[in-house]
Amino acid sequence: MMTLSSRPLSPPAGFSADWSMGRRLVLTGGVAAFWGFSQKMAAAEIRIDITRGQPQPLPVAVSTFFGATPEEAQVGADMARVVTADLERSGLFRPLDPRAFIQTPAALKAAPPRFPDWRQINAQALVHGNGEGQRDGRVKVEFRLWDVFVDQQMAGSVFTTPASNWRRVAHVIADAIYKRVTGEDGYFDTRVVYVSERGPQQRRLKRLAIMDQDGANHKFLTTDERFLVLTPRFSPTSQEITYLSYVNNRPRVYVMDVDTARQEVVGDFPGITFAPRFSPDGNRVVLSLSEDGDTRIYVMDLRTKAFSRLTSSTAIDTSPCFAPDGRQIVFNSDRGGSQQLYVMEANGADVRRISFGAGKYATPVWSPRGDLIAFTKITEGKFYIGVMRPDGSGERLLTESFLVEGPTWAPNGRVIMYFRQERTNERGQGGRTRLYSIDLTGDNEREINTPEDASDPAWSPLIP
Amino acid sequence: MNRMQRAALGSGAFHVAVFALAIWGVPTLFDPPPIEDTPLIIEVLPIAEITNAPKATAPTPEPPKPEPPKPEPPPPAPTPPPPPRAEAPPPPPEPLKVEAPPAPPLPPPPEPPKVVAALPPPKVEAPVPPKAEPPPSPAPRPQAAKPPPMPTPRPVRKEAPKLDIDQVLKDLTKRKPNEPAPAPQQQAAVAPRAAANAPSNPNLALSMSDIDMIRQQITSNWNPPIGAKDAQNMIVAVSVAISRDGTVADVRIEDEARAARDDVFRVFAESARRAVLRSSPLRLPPGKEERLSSDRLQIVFNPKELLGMR
Repeated sequence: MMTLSSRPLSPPAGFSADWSMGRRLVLTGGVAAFWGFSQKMAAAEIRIDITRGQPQPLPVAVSTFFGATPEEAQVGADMARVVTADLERSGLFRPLDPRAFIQTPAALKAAPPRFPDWRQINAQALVHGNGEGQRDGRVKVEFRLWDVFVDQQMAGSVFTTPASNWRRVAHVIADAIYKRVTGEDGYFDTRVVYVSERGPQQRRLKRLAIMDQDGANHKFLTTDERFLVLTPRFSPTSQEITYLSYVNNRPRVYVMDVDTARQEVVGDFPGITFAPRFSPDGNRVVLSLSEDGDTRIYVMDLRTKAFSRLTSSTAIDTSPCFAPDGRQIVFNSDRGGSQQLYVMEANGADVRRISFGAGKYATPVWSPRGDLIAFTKITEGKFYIGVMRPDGSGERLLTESFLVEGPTWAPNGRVIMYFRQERTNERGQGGRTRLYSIDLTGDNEREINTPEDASDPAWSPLIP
Repeated sequence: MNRMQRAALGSGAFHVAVFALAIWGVPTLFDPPPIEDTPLIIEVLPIAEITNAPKATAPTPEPPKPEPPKPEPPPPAPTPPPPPRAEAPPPPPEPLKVEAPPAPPLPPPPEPPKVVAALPPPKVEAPVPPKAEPPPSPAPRPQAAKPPPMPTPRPVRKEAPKLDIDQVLKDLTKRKPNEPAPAPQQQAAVAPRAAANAPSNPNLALSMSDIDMIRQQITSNWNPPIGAKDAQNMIVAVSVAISRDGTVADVRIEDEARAARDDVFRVFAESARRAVLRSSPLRLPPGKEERLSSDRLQIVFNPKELLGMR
């Protein structure tokens, strides 16, 4: 990928970057102790508990990035647009209409924000920045994020990058804003690989495609539509994917570098291999191997090519997925009669069932932050995407449809993407299939634009 | 005879004594013990989750007290240090050097930077009408061509953010079809403003409804980041000083050390602080202004209930 250098930007004179810094310098030793003590005494007098709130998107003002020349101004406007769209799409921000802004981008460049102007339009956070061409053809972009209620800078950075890289810089800035405001890592500087489909339902042509998480920079990774491709999965550590392809009617697991499009087969096995997925360190692939009527889970080291079996039941064990710490694997199996989710140690020991609801469970995917497992659930003729804790508790169903399947997590473990297929009519027409994303809370479900039908999304890690 | 005399006298004296005792003595003997002045203990319980402040009992129509203007912190250093020359660096004191390696331009991206000579206003959805008057735009904003259409995913169900108070995390299994989503609880916070100079006693105890009145105002301004990991453990206490007119003079996060090392906690702490600042000026229960402004308040924000984890 393209290079991107950045460094933090300290606040202008007279502003503290962080509210916790200044005071600590003043309060040292006994003074601090006494102050803390007297605070406690005083605070104990009247206590008010707030146990409810109004969760809602944060109103944020994203000012157009200032540029001195028309070219720079254009890039500044484009970047602000991408930042705004990222924040808005996350569902956690409510960008305000720039037509209401009082202070201009030029004024913001020349002087610190006039906070009352921003409070007046009900902004709670303010983002502004500027871009400047360099002699070597690159651009220097800086941005600042301000807390409008306490008049303090919350974040700021300078980036130096090739001019053509502005879109990525905008995503990186949006990630910085997201992280500072929500406390969680962002996910805007990421890509999604998926299976692009066209043609009649009975004879679908499928290609691998990749795009930025906002749908930009779309391109196809495989071109030969004669070979069916299925289940692409991103490496958690690099810009590599693993997927299943039927070449000459033989299904095999491949690994591909998405930047160079170089691909190779992951071992050659006697049976049919499928449902591959990387380990958290990116060095191994866990997959299913079907042989003599039984389907079992294997793990393979990509460097040594060592191959070892993890399950040995006479049932169908499939869809394995590592926990982010690499210690456990979740998978689904029909060993108990119906298809349910199971968790085992990474070496195959201590298998225990975690799903006990009505219906069948499939395609479990462990959240990158470790706290949840997303899955597809099929019950009473409907498909659901849901989440549960790794011990099987706290099951919540987020969305339902005639067919929804294949959840994949944003690298911050906050957003889930999946695909939804509409019903076909009696002549086999229809069946529109698209990608959707939804927030972990179950809100903010959105369709992702793709040129053709789309299924089986896989979200990349943050681009290094 | 002598003996009889003595006996009669004794008997007479005894009778007199008995009568005297009966008339004057007994009432005092059997006086009920004085009632001790024991304090009556009355437990004050919250009346309801939503109680409005006591109707303003100050009928004295004061001359319309000059409404304290929105507390606007001192304007940020009006015009920063002399804006340097024409094409000078931005306000930050430290010069923005192009640091950074002229990194090897790797496989150059296909598209060259767009160079268009116009500055279109970025198109943003969700227009929020500015407050009443149109913003006095100091500089004419360039109105230019529409920004190029961008392949932004279109929202599917652009539902207003859920304000489901009891449980913000959606679960389809818990919401039966046809059941309307819980209506957002609107705060009917229109309590009349207390006359600020009503008799106010610093020793007056606060009732539950007094506390509740303040609680409600802050609750409606608290926007907790509920989807964060371990949100249920993010209990934030802030110490707040308010003045008699309800203006928030100062908010301090009590556990600053944790906020400095724990990103998620910091975000919760900031949301708590923002809730208090957004509530300024607070409407104070009439007569309790002195009490409330004489001490710092400790306000504890706990998202557990919001997350359905009581």
